[in-house]
Amino acid sequence: MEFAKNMKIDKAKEAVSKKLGVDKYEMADETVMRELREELGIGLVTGMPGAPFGVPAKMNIEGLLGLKINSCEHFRNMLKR
Amino acid sequence: MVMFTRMGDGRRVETTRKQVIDDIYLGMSHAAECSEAKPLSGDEVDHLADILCSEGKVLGVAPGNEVVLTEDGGPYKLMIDSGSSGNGIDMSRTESIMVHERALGMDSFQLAHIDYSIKAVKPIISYEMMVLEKVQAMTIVPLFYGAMPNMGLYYKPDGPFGNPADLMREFKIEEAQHEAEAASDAIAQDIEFITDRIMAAGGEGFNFDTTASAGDADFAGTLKGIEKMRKSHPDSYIVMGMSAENVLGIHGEIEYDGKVVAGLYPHEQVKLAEKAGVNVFGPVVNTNTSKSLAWNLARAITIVKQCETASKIPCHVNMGMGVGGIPMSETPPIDAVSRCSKAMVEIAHVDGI
Repeated sequence: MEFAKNMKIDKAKEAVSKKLGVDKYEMADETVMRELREELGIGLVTGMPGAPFGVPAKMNIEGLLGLKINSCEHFRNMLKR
Repeated sequence: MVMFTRMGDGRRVETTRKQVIDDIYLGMSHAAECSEAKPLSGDEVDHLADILCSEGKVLGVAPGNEVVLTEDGGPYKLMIDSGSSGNGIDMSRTESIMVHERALGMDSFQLAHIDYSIKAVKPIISYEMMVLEKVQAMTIVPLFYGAMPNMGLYYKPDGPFGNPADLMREFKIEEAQHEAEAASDAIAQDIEFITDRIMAAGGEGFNFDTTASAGDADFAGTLKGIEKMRKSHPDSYIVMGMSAENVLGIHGEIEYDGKVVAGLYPHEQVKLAEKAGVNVFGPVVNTNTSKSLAWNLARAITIVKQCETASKIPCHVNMGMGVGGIPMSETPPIDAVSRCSKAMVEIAHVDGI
C-alpha cells in the first residue's frame, strides 16, 4: 500500500489490517499470521506442499487488497485461453 | 554509572548517561546547522537517551510499531565478497532472493546485476528480463529491479563524455558543465530504456540506489529518468535512495523543475522526488567515524525527522554501515543497529527502513 497508494506506514497498516480482518498487533504476530496466510492462500515462509506460492499467491493478494499486480498481469497475458 | 556505547567506526567505548545526553545535543546542533532542521524536543532527547542507555544488547520497537523493510544491492548481499560486505555464499540469484523473502524477513526485494549500475545493465537487459520472469513465478514480496544510476560511468575513461573532474582541473568550467548536462540526459534516456523493459517483463517497479553519487547532474538526470518511467508506467512502484546526505554541486547550476539541486538536504530532495513520481524515498545521513553513536544518531534522527515531516510520500531511511547513525563497520554491531532502528521508528517516525 505504501508503493501502490503512497500511503504512510500507519495508514498502510490500517488499510491492510482491515482487509485481513486483524488489528495492527495481530498483523505483526507470527502465530496469528502463519495461520491466516495459509487460510488466505497468500504465501508462507515455511515449505508446505499445495500452499500457493509465487504467482498464485500474488493473485490471491490482488483479490484481497483490491490491487493489480504487474507480475500477475504479465503472467495472465501469457495465457492462451 | 558507566556503560558501553559505540563510536562511529564501531569501537566499543565506555560512556555515561551525561556524556550520551551531551553528545545528543551536539549531534542535534550539528544537524540544525547543516540542514536548518528543527531540534528534537526535551521529551524526544530523553527518549533517545533512554534507548541509547538501555541495558539490553538487542532492542526492539513496542508491539504495533513495526515498520516495513526495503533494501538495496539485491541478492548479491549473500553471494558477493567482502568488498561489498557480502557473505560469500555462492548460489543462484533466485535462491538468494527466496532466502531473503522467507528466512530473512524482507518485505520487498529486487533482482539486480552484479555490476549494479544502469549503464552495465543496458547490454544484458534481455537476460535480466528473462531471469526476472522466472523469479517472479517463485516469489511473493513486491519484486523490483534495482541499479545505481552511477553516472560516473558515463564519463571518460569508462564512458563517452568528458570527465568534469579532469576538465575543471584545466579550468574548463563551462565545458565541464556541458559534459555533465549531456551525461545527465544520457542517463535519463537509459533509465527509460531499461525501465520500459523491466516493466514489460513483469517487474513491480525499480529501485534507484545511491542516487546522486556522481553529484548534482546525476541527481537531475535520475529524476528526469524517473519522470519518464512514471509517465509510461503510471502504476509502477518507484523507490529512490540517495547516496549521501546532500547533493554534491559538481556542476553547480544544474536544475530540476526550476530548482538548483546542488546542496539540497533530504527535506528538499524528497520534494523533487515526489514531483518526479517516486513512491518511496530513502534519505541518507552519513556517519562521522570520529563521533559517538549518540552524536551520530541524534544528528541522523534530526535530519530524517525533518524529511519525514516535509514529505507526502513514505520515507524509508537508509540504514546500514556508515548511514542512518549506524557505525561504519563491515559487520555493524547489533547493539548499535537495533538502537538506531528503534530510535528512527519511534522518534523520526519513519515509514520503513
